[in-house]
Amino acid sequence: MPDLLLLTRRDVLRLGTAAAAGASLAACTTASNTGQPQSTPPTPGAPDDPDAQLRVTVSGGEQVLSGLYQYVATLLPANAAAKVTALGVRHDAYQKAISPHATASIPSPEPQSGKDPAALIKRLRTAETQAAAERAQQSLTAQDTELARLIVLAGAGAASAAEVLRTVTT
Amino acid sequence: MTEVESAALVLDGTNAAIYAYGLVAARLTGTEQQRALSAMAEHRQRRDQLRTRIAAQGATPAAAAPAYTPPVAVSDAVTARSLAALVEDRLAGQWAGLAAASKDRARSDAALTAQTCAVRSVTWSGTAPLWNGAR
Repeated sequence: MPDLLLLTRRDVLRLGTAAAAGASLAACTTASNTGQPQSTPPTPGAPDDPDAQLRVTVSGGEQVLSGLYQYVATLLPANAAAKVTALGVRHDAYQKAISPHATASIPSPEPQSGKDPAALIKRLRTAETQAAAERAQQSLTAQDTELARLIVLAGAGAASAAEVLRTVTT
Repeated sequence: MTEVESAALVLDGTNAAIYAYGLVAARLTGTEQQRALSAMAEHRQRRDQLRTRIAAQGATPAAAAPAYTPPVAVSDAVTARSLAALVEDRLAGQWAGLAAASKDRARSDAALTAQTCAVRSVTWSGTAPLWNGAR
């Protein structure tokens, strides 16, 4: 009887790649899903990287989200701040995985929502929902399949964060 | 991994998820049980679509196993929710893999399905993992 969550070797390789993605995209792009060396891919962000602009766009979006979380966390009660901070750090991981050589510069968001905690949470939810839709669309243009997978996972993360934010009370 | 290989992997995971939801639904009641049964029905629909897709590419879709061994004993509502969260999260990762192996409309459809699985996972667990699909 097979295990319900039986991992094949290729599965392990895939999941290992996802887990390590936050630390190093280089590892992701040099190990294929089958464990066999791929044809040498362009270095992410290098002039010969056909996805260079896409990486900049997506990682920039992740930086904006990270900055928004940091801003909102400073305005929330401690309990809610801890929850949103935990969600916000995910965007740093996505940014590093998608564009590992980019220099992170977190933009300061415009304080559009005032300081009402419920409105701030709603603003985060709206941003995550929008990011989920954008990532699904952006993944379409990725030439590198590993980049496409990372962008899809970032979109899945955004969608799930929007759901978790529904439960954050202030 | 080719598109058909990725689709076969998702089919494996979907078959396991359908089996898992049988275990999950048996331990839940009321609205939660309905949610589990609804998720099972959705995965069955995806399974049928995947089988059709795999066959259309000239491969033979694998049949589901008669039974699967869950990673944890499902003995109450708490463990049932944990299992549901786990299988959905894992499927999110598998659908992301299929999205990467696909093109155009098939890629965006798979990406949105990965999001659906990720969202469903957090509705069972209440928490979002750092990376969906990494468990």
